[in-house]
Amino acid sequence: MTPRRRLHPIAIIAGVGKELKSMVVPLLVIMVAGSRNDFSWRDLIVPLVAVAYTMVMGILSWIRFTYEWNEDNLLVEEGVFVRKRRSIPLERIHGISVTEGIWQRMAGVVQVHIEAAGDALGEAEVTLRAISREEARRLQRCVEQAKNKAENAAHPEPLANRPHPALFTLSMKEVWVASLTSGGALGVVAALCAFLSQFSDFIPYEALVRDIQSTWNGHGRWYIGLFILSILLAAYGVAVVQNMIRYASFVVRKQEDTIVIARGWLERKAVSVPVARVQGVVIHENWLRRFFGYASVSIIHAGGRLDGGGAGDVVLCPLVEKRRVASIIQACLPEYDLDAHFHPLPKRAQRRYMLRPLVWLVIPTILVAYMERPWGMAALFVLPLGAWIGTRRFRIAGWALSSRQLALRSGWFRQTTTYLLKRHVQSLEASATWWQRRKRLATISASVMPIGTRARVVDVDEEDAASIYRWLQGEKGDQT
Amino acid sequence: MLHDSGKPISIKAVTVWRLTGALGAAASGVVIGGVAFLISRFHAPSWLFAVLAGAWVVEAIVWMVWLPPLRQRRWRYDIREEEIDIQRGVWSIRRTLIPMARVQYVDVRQGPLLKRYGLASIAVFTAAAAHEIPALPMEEAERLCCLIAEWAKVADEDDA
Repeated sequence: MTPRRRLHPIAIIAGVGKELKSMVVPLLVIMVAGSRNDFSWRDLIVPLVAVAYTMVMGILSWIRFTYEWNEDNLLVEEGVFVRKRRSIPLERIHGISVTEGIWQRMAGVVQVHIEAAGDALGEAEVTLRAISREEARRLQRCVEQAKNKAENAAHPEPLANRPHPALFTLSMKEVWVASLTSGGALGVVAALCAFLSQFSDFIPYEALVRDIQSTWNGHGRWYIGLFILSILLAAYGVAVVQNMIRYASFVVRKQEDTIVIARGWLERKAVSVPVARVQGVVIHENWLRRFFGYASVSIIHAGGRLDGGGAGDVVLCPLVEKRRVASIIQACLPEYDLDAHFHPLPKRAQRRYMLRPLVWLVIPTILVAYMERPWGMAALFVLPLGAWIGTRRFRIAGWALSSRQLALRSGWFRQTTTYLLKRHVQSLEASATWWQRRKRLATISASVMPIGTRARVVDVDEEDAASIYRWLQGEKGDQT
Repeated sequence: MLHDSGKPISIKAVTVWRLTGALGAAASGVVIGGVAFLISRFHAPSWLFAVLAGAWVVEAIVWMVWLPPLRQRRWRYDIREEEIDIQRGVWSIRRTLIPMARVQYVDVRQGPLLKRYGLASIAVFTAAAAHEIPALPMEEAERLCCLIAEWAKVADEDDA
């Protein structure tokens, strides 16, 4: 039993800082949109009130936030206006991630994020924004003990203080390559577009477009091209740096039945995922990395945003040589078999794969080709390219089935292979459109936790789809 | 493999869907009417109104006349001790298999329209998604709900 206590006061700064960061853009918009031509002190009222309110609320919620734990439960009390008391059984905590942000580092504390199974409606999450490192370790140990007690598995030797060999690390060079070849740059570009669109109220876009048009018709089109290119390059640079900070000193260890992933430079983070909560293994190979024989590996974790990405997505290896993947997975998650033999799609599916990209491309390409005659005719080369990508996708797509495991593979720009154990498959769907039925093809799609996670392959042979469907049907049959 | 097996849902589903289609058409009629009024203020050419009216008529026919019987005819469900098997869809036929051991809970749902025709839907929840079987006779829905709850419990115990 620990005494009831508050977080380290640095939590106020970390919390208020986070709130303020998310307020900057809306406040700027309000300020600029609200002010007429001349800027006066009145325009500052709204932002100042908002900032002051955030700060006061930050302090009050720090005062109100207390936590304690005993052998069985973690008790958290919080809320400024509405008091909320939560008691989370330690044995039901599914994942812990420990983060050291910049603020936390300055005070020598850590942030602990806890995922627990809630009621049927959802998962319970708690963030202890600033507690001492020693305390975080004690809490983790208590969780482990509570779990062992629940499983009645008496460990003969003490859990702690046994060295665990690193199963996977990233060298500095690999961090570089991983950052340079990741798809994150596109994300930054998208964010940039979203950011600019927020300012559409006061950037005179119409005048800008007119200017651009006249410049375009003059000699300025190279300048515009260069300008866009440099923005894209800058965005790409930002993404690379972000990824480098994220993946620096990346280490994967296995401690008993938990996979622990530690990573990060300025912000150190350790994500613990119990093996029992892993719902699947996903291997991504984008076209660039595939060319050099590299891949990246993620695990699907049931619920929660432990890793800061999408729900249930935890990166196990940001970049790894393809031939090493099987042995790493063998060490971390021995139940998965990555040497599965993939069945290709039937030949008659190829035409559908080639036509599918064209459906979207034909009308825009022909329009461009017609309107920008004669040079626009070059756009027509996009069509055979689309068909070629279609055939590549057709070659890659496939499925593999063993008595315990289903594996599905698709994609080309980013080839995705998903391995799922039978007992984790929540439901299986086989579907066929009228076109597919004519060619005796079907789409197969398997769902796992968390909500909305699925893997699918289009245009599998109808017979094969049926056999995958029956595989889940005969659940009890093949265990005997 | 996507052949009709299992039990059909109530034939009254067609009537219910025709009614919901009518409600939808009424709602979109209001929207389209509003748009037509707006563009009439800007002296739009008359063929534009014809296009709008045509779109509305097509939508109403599709949702009130054409789709409901097709959907009802395609719907099949089969609830066995070890799994739930659902088939649906008009253009794309989809068949879904849910192992009983993955079922977390079941709901019986009934809106005012369904109630008027003595029907109810059941919704089956797994940890990954919700699956609905619409428009069953009310007693049948309640019986199935209990049955699924019972079997899901048994399957869970077997699994553990």
